[in-house]
Amino acid sequence: MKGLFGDRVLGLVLLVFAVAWSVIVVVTIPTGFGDSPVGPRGFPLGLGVLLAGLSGLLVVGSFMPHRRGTVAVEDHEPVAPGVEIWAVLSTVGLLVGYTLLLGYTGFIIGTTLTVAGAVLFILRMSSWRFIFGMSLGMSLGIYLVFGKLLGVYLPHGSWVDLYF
Amino acid sequence: MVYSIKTIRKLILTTGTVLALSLGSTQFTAAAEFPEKPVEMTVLFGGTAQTISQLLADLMSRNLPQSVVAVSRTGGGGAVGYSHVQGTAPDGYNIVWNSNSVSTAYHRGNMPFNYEAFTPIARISTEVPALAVRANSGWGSLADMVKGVKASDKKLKVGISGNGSFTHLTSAALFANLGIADKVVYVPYGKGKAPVELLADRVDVAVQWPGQFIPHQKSGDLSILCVTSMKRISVLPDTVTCDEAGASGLDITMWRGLAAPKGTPAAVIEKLESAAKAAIESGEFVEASNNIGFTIAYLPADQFGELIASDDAKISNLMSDLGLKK
Amino acid sequence: METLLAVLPLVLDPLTLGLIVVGTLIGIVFGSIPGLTYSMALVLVLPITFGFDTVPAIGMLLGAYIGGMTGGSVSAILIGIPGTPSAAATVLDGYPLAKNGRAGLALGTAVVVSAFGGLFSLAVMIVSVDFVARMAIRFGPAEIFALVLFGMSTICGLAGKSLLRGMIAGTIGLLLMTIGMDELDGVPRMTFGTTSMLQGVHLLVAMVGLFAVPQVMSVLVNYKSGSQASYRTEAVKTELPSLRQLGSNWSVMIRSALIGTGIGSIPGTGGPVAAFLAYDHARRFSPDKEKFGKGQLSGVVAPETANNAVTGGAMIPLLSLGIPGDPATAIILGGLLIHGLAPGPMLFIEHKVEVYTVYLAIGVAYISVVLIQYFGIRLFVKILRVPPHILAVGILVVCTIGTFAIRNSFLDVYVMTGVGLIGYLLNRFRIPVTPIVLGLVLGGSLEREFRTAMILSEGSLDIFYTSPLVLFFFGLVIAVLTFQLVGERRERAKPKSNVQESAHAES
Repeated sequence: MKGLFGDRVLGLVLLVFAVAWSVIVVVTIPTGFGDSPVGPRGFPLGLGVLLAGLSGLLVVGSFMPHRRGTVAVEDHEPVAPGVEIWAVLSTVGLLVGYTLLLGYTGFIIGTTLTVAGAVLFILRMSSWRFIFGMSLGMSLGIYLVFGKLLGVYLPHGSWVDLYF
Repeated sequence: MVYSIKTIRKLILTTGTVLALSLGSTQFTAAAEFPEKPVEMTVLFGGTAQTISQLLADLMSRNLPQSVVAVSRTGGGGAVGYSHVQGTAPDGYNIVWNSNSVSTAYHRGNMPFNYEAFTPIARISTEVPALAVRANSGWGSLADMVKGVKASDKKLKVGISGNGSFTHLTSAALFANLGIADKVVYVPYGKGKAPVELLADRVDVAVQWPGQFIPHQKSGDLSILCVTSMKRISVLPDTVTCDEAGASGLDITMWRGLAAPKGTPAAVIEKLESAAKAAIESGEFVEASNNIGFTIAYLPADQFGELIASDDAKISNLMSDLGLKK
Repeated sequence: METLLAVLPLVLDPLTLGLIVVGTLIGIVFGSIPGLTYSMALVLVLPITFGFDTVPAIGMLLGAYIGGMTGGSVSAILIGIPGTPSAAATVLDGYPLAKNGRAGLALGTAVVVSAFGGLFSLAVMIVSVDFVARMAIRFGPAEIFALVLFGMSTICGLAGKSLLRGMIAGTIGLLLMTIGMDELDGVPRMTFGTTSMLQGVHLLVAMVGLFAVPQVMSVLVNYKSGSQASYRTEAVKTELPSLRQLGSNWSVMIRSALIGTGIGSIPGTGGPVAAFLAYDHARRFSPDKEKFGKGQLSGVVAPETANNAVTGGAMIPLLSLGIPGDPATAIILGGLLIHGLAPGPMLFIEHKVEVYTVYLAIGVAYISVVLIQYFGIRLFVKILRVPPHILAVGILVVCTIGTFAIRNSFLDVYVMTGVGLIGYLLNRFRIPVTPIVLGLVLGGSLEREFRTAMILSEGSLDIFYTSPLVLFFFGLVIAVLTFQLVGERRERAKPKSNVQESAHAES
């Protein structure tokens, strides 16, 4: 999805978003109190309208190729779409899974499991020595240095809370 | 990263053992002596509120077998932190460094529950807002200021911390009491900027905490006209109260204290209460109160609860007068 | 001068010296981890200082502040994720330098110019604290709004060749910052009735997401498709910049240091704005404009000098007026207060010794920054030998913990993920990421100062054209915009062969 077609899709998506945003702003945010000439609604609404206008320009511009310089430029090396979707889903899945685990099992268990899972299922490395070393090394290392030595507050688990 | 198999095996064994122990131990929490693990004190705001809380947590830790950890959960005028603590188990391991913000956040409509969702532990301190003007403003007293405002056709610009903040509510009550509520414009500044804006002549009056004004009063740039409590405060013994200065009956004080989720066992509350009492009676806390400019004002749990309730009603009325109540 | 001599033994006392160094070290560690910043380092160091006397305590706090400010460049250069918002501009050229195998040089330069910027602002503070404080007071809401708007106009320089795309990105950044509780009126905005959303989008959370998440994604893409990034050379040397390299940047350094000191002294603006403005001005006035964004050393020099010059600048309103410019200086204020030092005009009369302590401690902190980093760089660059896909897993873990620790909120981690995903998708459609960061950084003050100014003027726009300072900054905004639009038009008129390069301005 490159060039003009990409601009058109992006412009339209942003336009729909900006309009929806502005409508929600008008419905849910009050105009203000007493002394404020510009209340809490002013900026979100103004920015929504601005974004709508700018994305509209992007759509219009995509119909005027002679006015635009960067038509045929590829800024990424061609990648199989499957690979890219896999990478995006893996990253998001890893982050969400990690956060959920942290909430239930606390820092040490959550981190160990997540790192091991990432190495095993996403990077597909099969050296057990490495998987154990990296997952435990990372969780215990961060726990000791940041949790214990520097006193950073690390997540506690609601099911199990492994602390020593 | 090279790990010998032996080390790793050892690590796994340890992890397993500790895991089994921690799983097992949760079964017996109720029977054992409180506290068995660190107590989390949720802090709702940055700035001095946070500094005081860190010191308090530090001192409380000395009087308990486990440490008290100040954990910051800011946002939503306190609503985010209150909601967190309200949602935790009532076992005393999650307490909140609370203040009148429990009332303002609720009446503002930012929180679905009110102060009754918490069991009070103890009041720790109070802070009293003060009103200051520029030393060269020609207003030597509150009465001068009122006279000046009434004589002028311009509105009085009052620097406060934010609309719906405690300093806003205080100012509103004060100016209503003085009968000039309709001649006032409130200018909300975040992050303690109101005193400088007063110095720079962009606002006419600022209502903030005494600590922010005192250095500028000493240097002769600002003068503090009154404090909003019924009694004079220890850091400003010579400054009259607003009540003395003409706003008769005005009595507004912000308190800070500790509370736990509703349903926390009385024995646990008692332990925390006495740890807090010992902490604030220490020399370090007394010194900090003088330096930072707050007043130590211990109240035991039951009296603290009564105060929260009566202040909540007061704040509710004030906010509906201002049209801020939801 | 006598005071200085009297203070010298106090600061050079082994305990004080040790605490400054420890503070600096902690600051550097926190600064270099995305999500953990000097604010958090200060919060964690503060209770440690309770037990010490005034001089060592202040020394340790200042060490953590300064170490944290310099630490942000480490991760910005090595992994392309700024450790602190102030280092966001450093990514633009620092990361490409690392990709070209010049990580050692970039880091070395960052350290040296950081120390220069910091010491420069310290000198300004010592010489003219009164004058600068009086100037800073003149910046009311209207003036700060104009200044922030000027900061926003640097989008032009960051947007690559298309102002439209840059503005879209900037607007998205500004939109994100309006979510949560409105600071002035206390009403919820776009929270859909939930309490948890009241906390809003934290600048750091969004920034970590924007830089870290897309990077992990593209590492995974490369990993799966077998095209391992090949830029990480085996032997990364520790190079300190040669005198010649510094010499050719001396005017950028001085101008950036002035920008940083000036902006630092105005409460409520701070490091990121200074860094972006310095970067933009260095690019604009450089003969090699085209090389910026591809690994130009001046692109590291400018933001790093400026953001450290902010430290001295920020001390001016803090010490002389008692006004903290940002959350970090607010914690330092707490530390000063608890040790019995009430900032304000009287501080310089009543507590002369302590004031000079502050000066000396800042100087010592910068010296220890240079020493620690000089040896640290050898360690830091080792991270480049870790294969990218392994590093990516580590980045995810560290960013999650860092993001969580800011406010101890799991929601923040989800926000980081979401913003990162949006950033990746937008970048795939050639919307640059850096202007989004600019929007995030400036959004809060832009809105707050405008609305406060309007309240002050009782709803009249007069306030924006009666102040010479406001008009000055507005003039700069218009000049920058005109410059950009004319340039873009000229670019289009050129033959097509030149166009190929243009889309790469944003890496």
